[in-house]
Amino acid sequence: MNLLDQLETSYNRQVQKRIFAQLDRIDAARDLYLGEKYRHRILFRENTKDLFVELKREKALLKGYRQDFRDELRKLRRDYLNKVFELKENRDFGLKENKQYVKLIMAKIDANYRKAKAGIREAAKLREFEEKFREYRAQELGRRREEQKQKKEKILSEYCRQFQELTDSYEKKRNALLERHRETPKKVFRKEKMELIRTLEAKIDAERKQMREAEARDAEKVEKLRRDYFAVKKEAQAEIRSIKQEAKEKVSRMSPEEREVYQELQKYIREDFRLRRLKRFDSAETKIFRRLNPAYLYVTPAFLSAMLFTLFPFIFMIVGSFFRINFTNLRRSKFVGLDNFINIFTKDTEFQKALGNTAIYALITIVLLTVVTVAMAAWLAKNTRIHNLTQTMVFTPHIASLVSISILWIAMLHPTGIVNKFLALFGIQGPAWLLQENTSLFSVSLVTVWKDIGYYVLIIISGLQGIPAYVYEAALLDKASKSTTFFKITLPLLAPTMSFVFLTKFINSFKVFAPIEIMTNGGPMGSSMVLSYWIYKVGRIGFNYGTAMAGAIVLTLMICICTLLKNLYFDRVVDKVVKY
Amino acid sequence: MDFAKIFDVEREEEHSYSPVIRELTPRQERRLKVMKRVKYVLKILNYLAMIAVGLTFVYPFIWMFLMSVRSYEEAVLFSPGLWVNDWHWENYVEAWNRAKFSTYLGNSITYAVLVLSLQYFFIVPAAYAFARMEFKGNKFLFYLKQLGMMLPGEATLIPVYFFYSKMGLVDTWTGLILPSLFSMFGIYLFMNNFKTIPQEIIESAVLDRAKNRTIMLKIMVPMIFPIFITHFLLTFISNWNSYYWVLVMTNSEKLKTLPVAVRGLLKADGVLPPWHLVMAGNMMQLAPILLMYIFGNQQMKRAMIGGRKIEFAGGKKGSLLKRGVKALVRKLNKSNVDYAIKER
Repeated sequence: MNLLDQLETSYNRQVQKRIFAQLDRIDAARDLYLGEKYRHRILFRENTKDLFVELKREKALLKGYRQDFRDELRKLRRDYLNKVFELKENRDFGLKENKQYVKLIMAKIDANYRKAKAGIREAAKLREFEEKFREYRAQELGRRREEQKQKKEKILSEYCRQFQELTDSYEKKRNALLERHRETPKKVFRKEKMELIRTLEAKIDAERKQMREAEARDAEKVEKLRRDYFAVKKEAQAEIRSIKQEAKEKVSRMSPEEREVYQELQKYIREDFRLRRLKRFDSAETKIFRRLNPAYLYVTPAFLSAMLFTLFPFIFMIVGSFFRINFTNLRRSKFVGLDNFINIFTKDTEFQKALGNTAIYALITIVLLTVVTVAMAAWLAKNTRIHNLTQTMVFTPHIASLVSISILWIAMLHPTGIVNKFLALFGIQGPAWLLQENTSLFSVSLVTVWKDIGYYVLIIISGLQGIPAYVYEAALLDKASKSTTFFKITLPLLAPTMSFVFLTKFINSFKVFAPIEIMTNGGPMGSSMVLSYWIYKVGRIGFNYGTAMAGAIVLTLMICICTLLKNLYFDRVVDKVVKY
Repeated sequence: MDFAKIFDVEREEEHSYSPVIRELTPRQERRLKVMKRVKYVLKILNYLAMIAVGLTFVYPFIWMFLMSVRSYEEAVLFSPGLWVNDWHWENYVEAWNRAKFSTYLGNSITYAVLVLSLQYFFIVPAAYAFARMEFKGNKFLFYLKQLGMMLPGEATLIPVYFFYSKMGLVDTWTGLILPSLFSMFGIYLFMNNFKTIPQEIIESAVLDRAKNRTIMLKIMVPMIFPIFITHFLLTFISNWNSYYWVLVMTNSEKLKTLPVAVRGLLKADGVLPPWHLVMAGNMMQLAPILLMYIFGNQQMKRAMIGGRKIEFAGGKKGSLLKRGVKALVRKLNKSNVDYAIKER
């Protein structure tokens, strides 16, 4: 027997049909109630649809007054600037070529002279040849120089003429455009549009008022329907429960074979119910998301976290730095103006040291890291098993935490530790590293550099592998030496990646905390005090919140300025790359 | 003598890059052989130097392990050798007991598990929205998140601590894991990878009336599945190693994690720290990550440099893990295709 037929005639289907009937009853009552409730509102929306569209258009027009004109002007200017840029490029190229022209000729003459000289054996002839040659050379060079000068003047005058032409045409076009658009005055335009918008809004308001009145008139009817709906719902639900109970009892009275069949079929029935629920859920979802962009749902957590961890703290920090803050009761905090800043910059020697140390630390770290990393990357950039093994070994410290590395290096940099013992092999009396004022900051930066080398080596190697092979092939054809290839090809091609990576690292090293906290605690006599540790010490341990926040603002400013400069620089670089 | 003809500077010189074939003299041949040998020796020396440099980065870890099994008297000598007189394995037990490692290890694991399991619910939708959807305030929010990346946690410590104490989040798991759940790093990573998926696939899905939810979960996420492994690894490591946030946002011992515990071991006993115990604790804290690195260093390296393209020797064949992931992705894609065919 067909499964579908079996399902259709089975007891399960009967039960399901009865339940569906009850559910449909609920739906019908609900539709009736909701339809009555929102009838006027739907009517209102239909009536005012056109009005709303018009209003939206008018508002957009009001906002974008003379938008096309502005666009045109901007386009004109952009075109002009592009052309000027092109002209300058041409001029520079011409001048450069012209400059090299004489050098090239001279080189050729000298080469040919050497060749010709080798062919002459007799001394008298040679002397004669040389005399004549000198004469010829001076004459030729003078001629060429004259030519070069003339050509330079020609290029410059040509450039001036073209530039003048371009500027004139641009100004002419611009003036014509301005003249054309001076005719529609802004005030009149605005006034007209505002009036139109006001009338439209008044119309919509009137419609809305009408709708409200109608709704108020029908309120009683709606209330009655609502009560009906709930009554029906309650009743139907009770009915469903009783049906289910009945079915349960009947199943318990069934024979085992019948029960097996029942349970087999019940799977399909359950699937049916699930599909019905899914359908309703989908329709509800589409209804909601037709109004609301689901993107808002997706980014809400990110938004809240941005508020809690970025925006509010930022504002709080700026405001709080002008107060002597009482954390338990904010009302009692006192406004002290710029006192916090003045204090830290004039009286607090520890802060001043921290400020200087932060900059010094970042500089030391970045210089050491750049030099060592680039050298090592150039050394290790091959793809063999030994190179790979070395890369792996060099990378090891990067995965360990700063805490373990710091603890490890406290032991290694101990006055009688490994490093000093190693130096003693060469007869050098090592310093006390972390315990000595003049070396403590350097030691900390050495440790962080040691940790980071592997990571940056790998990054630079990946940049090296990104340089196309044909560049090197071309260099090989021109018989360039290895060092020339490295300095003239590899480094310039690598420069954008490298500078981005290392500038980011530079900015990040303003935030150094863990190594300082563990290894030196601000160091002997504050010689390794840095800003982030100072903030922690003053604010979190010493409870001087206002002072700490002033320091935090200084740190933030340092970081922000560096980041902005970096972004500006890279925007320019990217622009250049795009233009060429 | 016609100089203008000899020094004919206008003439273009001929360049020929074709190889010149000539016979070598016996002397030249001998010289070539010697050069070859010298080069071979230099190559070996280069390799030796490489391994020596590599060892300077690995040696401290080995030394740390040996320090951890020495007795106290032997440890404070800081002997650089790799020789141990008696193996004191009981150092580990003592360090474990003294620093209450059982609690801290539990805390570390809880912290990692909570963050790793919860973060994708927030990061993936946000990344998808930033990469593929249009909504008002898109740019503003993105810049705000970028500002959050720029603003150091070290600077905003005090205001955030203030908000936390007012909201009662200090010394709670919620407060501890909250910033890692919405990390901008993860959003960036996923966003960049969502952007690499061609627009045509999404358009065809939209034509079939797929919802955003379906596109994201059924199409995009399986396509960038390997990124999940990378991100998982990275977040695990950064979580396991995180120090500052835990130190700052907890007051009691209840929530502190392993790095803080190891530091406590270092600074507990007055002037002289018990170096053998400190190293034992440090070793225990490092062990999981170090083991992971020993067994999967190629994958770890690849993951840590963040999806940059790099080729390692012997990495072309692909490790077991990578092959497994590839097979999984293939299977997922295949099942999707089958499903689509059945639908039609």
